[in-house]
Amino acid sequence: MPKKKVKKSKLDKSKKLRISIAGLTSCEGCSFAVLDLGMEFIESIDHFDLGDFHLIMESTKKKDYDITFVDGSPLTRENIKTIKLLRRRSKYLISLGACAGNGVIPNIKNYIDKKKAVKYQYPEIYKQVYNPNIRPIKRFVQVDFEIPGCPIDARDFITVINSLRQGMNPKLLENPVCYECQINGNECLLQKSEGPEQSRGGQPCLGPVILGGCDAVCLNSKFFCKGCRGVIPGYDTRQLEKQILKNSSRKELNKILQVFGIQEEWYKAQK
Amino acid sequence: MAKKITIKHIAKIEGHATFWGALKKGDITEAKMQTLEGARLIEGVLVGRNYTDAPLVTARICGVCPVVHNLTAIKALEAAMKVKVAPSTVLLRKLMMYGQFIQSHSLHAYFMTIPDFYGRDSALDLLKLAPKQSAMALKIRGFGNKMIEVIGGRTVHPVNSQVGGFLKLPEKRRMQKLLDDAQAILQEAVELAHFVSHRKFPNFRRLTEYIALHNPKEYAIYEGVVKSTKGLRLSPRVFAKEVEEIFQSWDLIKRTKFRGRIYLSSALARINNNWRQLNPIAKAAFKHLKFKMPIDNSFYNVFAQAVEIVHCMEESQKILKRYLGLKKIKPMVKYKIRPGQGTGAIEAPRGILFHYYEVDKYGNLKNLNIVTPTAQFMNNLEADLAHYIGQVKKFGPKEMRKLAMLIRAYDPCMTCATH
Repeated sequence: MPKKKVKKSKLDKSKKLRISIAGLTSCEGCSFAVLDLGMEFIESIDHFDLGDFHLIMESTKKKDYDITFVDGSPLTRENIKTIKLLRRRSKYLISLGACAGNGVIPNIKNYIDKKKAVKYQYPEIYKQVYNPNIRPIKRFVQVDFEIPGCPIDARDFITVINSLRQGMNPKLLENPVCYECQINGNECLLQKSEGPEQSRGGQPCLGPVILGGCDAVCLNSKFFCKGCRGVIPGYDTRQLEKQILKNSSRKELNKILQVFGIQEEWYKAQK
Repeated sequence: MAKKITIKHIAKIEGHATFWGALKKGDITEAKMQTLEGARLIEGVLVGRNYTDAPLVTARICGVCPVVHNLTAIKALEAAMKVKVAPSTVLLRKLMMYGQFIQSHSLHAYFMTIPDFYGRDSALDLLKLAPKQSAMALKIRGFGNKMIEVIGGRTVHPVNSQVGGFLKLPEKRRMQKLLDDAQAILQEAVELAHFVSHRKFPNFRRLTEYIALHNPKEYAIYEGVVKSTKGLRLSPRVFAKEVEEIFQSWDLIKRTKFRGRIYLSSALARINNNWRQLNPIAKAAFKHLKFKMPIDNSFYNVFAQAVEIVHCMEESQKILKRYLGLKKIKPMVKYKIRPGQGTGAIEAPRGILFHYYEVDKYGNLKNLNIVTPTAQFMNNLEADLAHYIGQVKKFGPKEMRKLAMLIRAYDPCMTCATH
């Protein structure tokens, strides 16, 4: 293999790096995905100084961190303060999962009448509920790296911390989901009809333009890709859109894009 | 003179919460927990969307118990559209539930709560203090995760389970592997339950009403009627309709009362109602401590969870054997979209979870409601905390830890409660 120049990260690797895994508002599934690694997580984290991970420990209340992972989106005023504080205290800030990365489920309200949504859920106290538009954390602070997915693939977490430990900038796979889906030998859902949308020609699978690295986990269960890992930068979505609109309406497509918050990205990629 | 005690951020629970209590010359005036999670408006954003979104979106309410939200949504939608699934589908769903119990309980009843008994703050310390048990707990948890992954396609936020059945059947080879591993894991689960039973649980007594699902055929987890230790017996549909959600301007959690009463729904409530139906090995492990029923010490919720791990392991073995003996299995039944209303109830690791949906003739969701276990036991938890603070004369670090232990013993899930 030709020798590549590896970009050095800005972290000092001569001593144990201090990590914190912090959470804003989310389901915390990404933190649990990390915990689900079990022994692998414990062995990997042993090379670091774990300063804060609220699921398994009280905070050590350290004032600065080398690497901070942030799980969740800023949904309260306190969350916004927290993310700014975390940025000040960390050398390297990483968004853990799609909530921090692009908003995911709660961001559906950006596309509907959010006042109606809050009135529906909290009819008696809706006036007191803080109800901002959902924005990814990169709109508030500078983010050094993003781990995509809802939930993340926990192997990405290991890859990232290991790269940083060796003083390199992390890098993840950049192939489309389609690539992995085909290696796994799955039948193409875009061209075939099966599953819940039974009577139609093909299913609106977004696999061809969505960032892979998930081992096509949904497609392995014959569940079409809804794009939780986001559109690959530089990919044009027009070709795929044409194919999907043969069997689905524009409205249906938009509703799929809204679930994981990629509608904006999708249409931006066509300009 | 009023004295205030606060825990700014409670660690080792699911989600973020804060606690404050006010002490007045030894008489407690209030004990309150407040969520620090924002309003994600899961119910609000789901209205008007297609029913197929409900299992996917509601699973994202909680990262530790996505399976229960996923399956409860599916069950409620099936009730609404009158879909009858194949018996093999029910077996697979039950296995997913047991996997969920095993993984959630082994995290909570070991890694989140046991460090307190050693006076430690971090679960990582346990690896040095009790290396053997830690390795066992990790292995047990791994098994639960594996079971969800094999059947549901993924551990966090399963994708395979849908209204009507499964998109794809799990590979028989992998199911066989689970069965092969189960016996060794069961033995470790028993050892872990004994380990938990030997911890020194704080003295505490406060009797309340314990509500759980009950099924005459088995220890109810996947389905049953609502039963309480005070003689209540209702169908989940009626209970979910009657349960009263209370709005408070200072908190986003809709705490509940039933007919004006506060109640507890949790592993302890299940044990108090249904302990006679535990599988033999789990029952033996449970009887080891010679309780007077019902158990009125909420700290023992942790032990109840450890016993349930054993029960779920035994039950998984039984069901895996039954499933592998089946000849013809259809992954999914065909169904028609039709308008209707349906309630689904399931025992989540933390108590009963209700989902209610109203579907129109196009399959769009007209109305929905989700009542989570944490929202249901929150009133009872606060009553317990007030009771505990009332007993303590002076608050030092030891008492503060016990207070946090009591909160943790409930295994509250703030992300579920603030969906």
